[in-house]
Amino acid sequence: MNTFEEIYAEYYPGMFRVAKKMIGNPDGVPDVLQDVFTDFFYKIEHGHEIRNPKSWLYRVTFNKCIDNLRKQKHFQPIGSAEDISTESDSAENQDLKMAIEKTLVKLKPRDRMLAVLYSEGLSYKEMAEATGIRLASVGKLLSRTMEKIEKEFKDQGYELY
Amino acid sequence: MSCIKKGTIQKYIDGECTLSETVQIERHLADCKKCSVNVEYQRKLASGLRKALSLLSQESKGIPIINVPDKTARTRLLTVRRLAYILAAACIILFVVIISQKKEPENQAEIIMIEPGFATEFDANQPVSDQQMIMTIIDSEGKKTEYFE
Ligand SMILES: [Zn+2]
Repeated sequence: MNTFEEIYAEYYPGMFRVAKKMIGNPDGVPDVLQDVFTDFFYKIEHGHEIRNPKSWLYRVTFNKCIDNLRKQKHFQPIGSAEDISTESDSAENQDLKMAIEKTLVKLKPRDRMLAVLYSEGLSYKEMAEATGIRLASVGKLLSRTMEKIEKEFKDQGYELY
Repeated sequence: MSCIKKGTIQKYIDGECTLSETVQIERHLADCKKCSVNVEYQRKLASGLRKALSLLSQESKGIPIINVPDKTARTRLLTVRRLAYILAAACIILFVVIISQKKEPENQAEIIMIEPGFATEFDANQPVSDQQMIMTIIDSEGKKTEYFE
């Protein structure tokens, strides 16, 4: 097995993107990931065997993002425009980002995570392990989620493709 | 083969089908315009979704150094906590011992022996509950007290 440092360096960037897409607010992401890796650290420190660190890390990231979303709900609306756009963005791009954010927020957290993990190129097995969805249902849920996203996008006047 | 379900098409375009599933699907697609159109549509949706979501995570800030709490600090904390538990438990035991000693009447004879038995000879063929039990208590002065059930 790889060392903690190697696993951290390997998965941090992907987990960062996933958490950012999940919670919208990029300022909250480092705290979420710090939590995930601290749990991971103690798990292996205490001799627990984690067979598939990637799935484990994404599953815990998912859970912590849901906790974070619950907390956020009490304080601020998820994903305001300033949160997700950067100065280099064109106005058109910023509108598009807003539309994506709005769309994602409307999905159930599980479907949202599925879409996010899919966009990160995870395998069906990894997605199933990370979200708790049965492996046999991943294809069906993915196609449904994509249709929901497309419909929501259309309602906002955008085309997904 | 009937037309292909959307979930199966999804699996197919994501390369998650087994070889035999793939063969079956492709055989069907060769003859079915409708399913071929669906495959193209779902492919476009998938790449559209990937593109759209990638907009949300364009800039990356690099990997920060992780602050995992110091192992020795944690061990020390655990030791202190364990010590606190032991002290608390000791206090409770001490308290209980003091209370129970105070409550005990001074001139009660100490019980030396308790002898459970049956009033008549025990009959193994009868249910135990039908036979009268007798409890003999012998105290330190050799006095016997018998209790019947
Ligand atoms: Zn067909």
